[in-house]
Amino acid sequence: MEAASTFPSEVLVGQGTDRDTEFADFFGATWGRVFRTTYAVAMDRSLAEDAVQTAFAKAYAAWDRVRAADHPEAYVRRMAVNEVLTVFRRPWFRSERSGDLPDDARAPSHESSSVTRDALWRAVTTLPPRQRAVVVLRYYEDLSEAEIAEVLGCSRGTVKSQASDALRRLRVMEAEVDRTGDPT
Amino acid sequence: MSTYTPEDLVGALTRHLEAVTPPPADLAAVHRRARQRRRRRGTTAVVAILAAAAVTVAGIVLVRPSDAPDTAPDTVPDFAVPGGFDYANGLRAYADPGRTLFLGGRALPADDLEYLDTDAVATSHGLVFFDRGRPTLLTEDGTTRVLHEGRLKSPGGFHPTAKADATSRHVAYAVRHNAEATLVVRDLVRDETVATRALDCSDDCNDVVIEAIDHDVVFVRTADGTFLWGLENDEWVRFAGAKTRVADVRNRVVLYDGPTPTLPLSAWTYVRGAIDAQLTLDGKHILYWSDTLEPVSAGDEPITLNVPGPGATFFSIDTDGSVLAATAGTPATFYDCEIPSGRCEKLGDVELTGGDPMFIGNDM
Repeated sequence: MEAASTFPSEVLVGQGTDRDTEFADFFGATWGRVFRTTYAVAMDRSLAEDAVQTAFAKAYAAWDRVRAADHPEAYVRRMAVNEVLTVFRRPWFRSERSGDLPDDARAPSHESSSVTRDALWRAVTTLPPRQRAVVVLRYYEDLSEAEIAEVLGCSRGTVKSQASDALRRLRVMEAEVDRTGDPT
Repeated sequence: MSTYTPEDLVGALTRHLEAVTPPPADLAAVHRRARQRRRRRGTTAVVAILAAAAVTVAGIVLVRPSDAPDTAPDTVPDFAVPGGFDYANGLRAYADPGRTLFLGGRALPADDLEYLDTDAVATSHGLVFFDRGRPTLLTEDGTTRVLHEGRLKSPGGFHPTAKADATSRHVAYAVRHNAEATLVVRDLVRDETVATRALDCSDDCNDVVIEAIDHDVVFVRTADGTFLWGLENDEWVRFAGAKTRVADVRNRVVLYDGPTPTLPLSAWTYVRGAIDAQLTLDGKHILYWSDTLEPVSAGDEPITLNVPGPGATFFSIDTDGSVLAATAGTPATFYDCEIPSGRCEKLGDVELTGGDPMFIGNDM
C-alpha cells in the first residue's frame, strides 16, 4: 500500500435520504427526454417505451449507485439505448420487424423551408440502428465522440467510422430522395 | 448530390423529435418492473441440495419462506454435490436467472437465486455466496463450507457483497450484526480469517459495499465515499469522494467512474471508464459490452474475441482470466474465450426462461 501514513479509523455516518422521492423527481424530470432519444434510435414507440421503462427499472433497483454518477440521466439513457440495440440484435426481432417507417417519417412537410429537413429525417429513419444511434446522440443529444463511445460501449474510432458511414449514406439517400422522392 | 449541413441534420432531428409526444410517465409501471426483476432473480438463500437424477447429478435449491427471519441461521444444512465440479478452466459460472446455475461444467437446477449477479463472487477456489447474510463457499469437491460463524443479522436491505483478489487466495466480504458491519478478508485455502475491521454504520449499513480487493488492498464504498483498507498495516484511508465509483481493480489498475480519486497512489494506475466495465485480470484491457477489449495503455493493441456468427452481447471475466461470453436471445450460446488470443470455445446452448444471461458476480 502506497499511502504515506496511517489514518485513524473513521466512524462512517451516512446521509439520510428519501430514496423513493428522489427517484420519482428524477424520473418525472427525465422521462420525456430519455424517451425521445430512445425513440429516435428505436423508431418504434412500443419498443422505445419498453426499453425506457426497463432502463428506469434498473436505475430504480440500483438507485444508490445511479444517483452517485456524475450524470444519472446519461446513465439511464445509455441503458435505454443499449436495451434497444440489444433487441435489434436478436434474430427473432429482425425477422419479425415489419420495417414500416413511423407515421411522421412518411408525412412530408408542406413548408418549402422544411423539405430538406423532412428528407433528412426520412433518411435517418432508414439508417441501421447503431448508425442511427450515433447520429442521434451526436446531432440531437450533442454528445462528443468520446461520450457516444461510452454510451455505445465501443471505441472512439468505431464512433468515427460509424458516423462517417452514416453521413455518407444520408447524402446518398438524400440525393435519391431528391431524384425519386423515395428514401428506400 | 444534395449538400445538407450539420445544422440541417440538427434541425431535422430536433423538429421531428420535439414533435414526438412521450407516453405518460408511469412511475408505478417502473416500480412493478423493478420488483419483477428482483423476483425473477429470486429470494434469498437457504441452500439445500437435491439428489441429482438423470441430467447432471445434482441440484441446488435455494428457498426462503416468505416469513423467514432476517437473522441468519446458526447452523447450515449439511449438503454436497456428488461428484463435485471441475474448476480447472475457471469456474465458468453463469445462470439462466432463477432457473439453472452452470458451474464448473455442471448444470444445477436452482430456484430463487438472489443477488448472484451482485453479491456472490466466483473465485478460483469456488463460488462464494450468501445464505441469508452468511457467506458460504461452494468448493470444487462439491461441498459447502461456512465462512463466517456466529450469529448474524441480515436485514432485507443489507446485501453485503463479496469480492475476490485474483492475486491471492483472499476473498473480502461483509457481514452485519445490529448497527455494525464487519469487513472480513478470508484465506479460502487455509480456511482462516486474515483480517477483520468493524464499521459503525448505524442505519446506513446498506450503503457499505465492497468494490474490489487487489494486492491485499480492499476498496470499500460507504455513504461518505470510497475508502481503502490496506491489510498489511491495517490502514484505512479515504480514496475518493461519494461521486466516484470504483468499477474494478486488477493488478494495481483502478477502473473508476466519476471524479478522479483524491488519494494518489504512485504504484497504481487510475483509468476512467464506465461503472459496468471490467478489467482483465492483468489489468491491461477493459471489457465493456463488446467483443473488442480496449487496451488500458495507448501502446497496446485491442483484443477481439472470435465469437462466431453475429457475436456476443453479454460478457464477464472468468476466474482463470478468460472471458465468458453469451449471445442474445434464446437459446443463448455461451463461450469461454482465451485472453489475449481471443480464441473462443463453445460451452453450450441454453434455453433462457428467466431473463438475460447472468454471470455470477457480474452486474453488467
